[in-house]
Amino acid sequence: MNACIERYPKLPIALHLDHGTSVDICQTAIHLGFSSVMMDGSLQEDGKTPRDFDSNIEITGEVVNIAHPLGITVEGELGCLGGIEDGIGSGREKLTDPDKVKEFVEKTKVDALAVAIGTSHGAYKFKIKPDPDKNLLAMDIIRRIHELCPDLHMVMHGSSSVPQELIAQINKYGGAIPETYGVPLWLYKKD
Amino acid sequence: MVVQFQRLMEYRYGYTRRIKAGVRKVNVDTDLRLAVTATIRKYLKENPAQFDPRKYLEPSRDAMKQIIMERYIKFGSAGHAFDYEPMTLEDMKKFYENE
Repeated sequence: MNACIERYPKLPIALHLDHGTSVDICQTAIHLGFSSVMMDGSLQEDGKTPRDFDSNIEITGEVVNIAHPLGITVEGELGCLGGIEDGIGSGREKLTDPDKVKEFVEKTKVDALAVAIGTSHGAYKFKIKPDPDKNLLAMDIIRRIHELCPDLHMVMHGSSSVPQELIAQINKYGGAIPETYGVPLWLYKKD
Repeated sequence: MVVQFQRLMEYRYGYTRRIKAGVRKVNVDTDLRLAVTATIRKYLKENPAQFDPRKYLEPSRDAMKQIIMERYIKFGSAGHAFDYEPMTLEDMKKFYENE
């Protein structure tokens, strides 16, 4: 990374820790040279059990207090994503409450916020093919948060499209991935 | 691994109004994992005598690169890297001090 920055000094680039589950992990990443960290305070240290709102504010704020004086940016998360394939996620969705976002951002001073709008981690997101006429994700939550906090940078986790041709190729050459669909790319046209 | 891990702060002044709904980062790493696995499976099936990871990881890297390029274009971030003056950690420290 350092060689890359030296070679391309005009390139805006960051090294970001995804889903830090504790203050210690974020601190280790910062010491290793990460320029940005995510403190996923939506979950407890096991990366599965949801954490309550006040405790999320406390732990995320703690990371911000360590990171900002060093020039490091921080991403937080409010609401829980489904999906447990990669070890991160509560296994059930608990969507972000837009009315709590402002308080969270003001109290923690996070730079960016991951929101839960119905996506999940891993390849197994939706069992049936997404219908363009139905609301797959709660985009109204995104719009509402943007109205309330127009300067907030939102992050969508678990947004892979799970290309059907890749699933087909894996299965053709010996894999056994069951029927599964991701967040379709046509969704990005709408908003 | 995320498609768009550009320094978030650079967006604050330049880009804010250009992304309608406020989403600035979209994590799509599962697509890259699928691309790697699909490519390795195909390569090893077609080249059963091959055993060298340096060989079978090469096409899988290219497959990932292809997905990354497609997503950059789809999400509208392709070609915008030089719209922003990079900020060093020292610049960022000053930014937070003044906040």
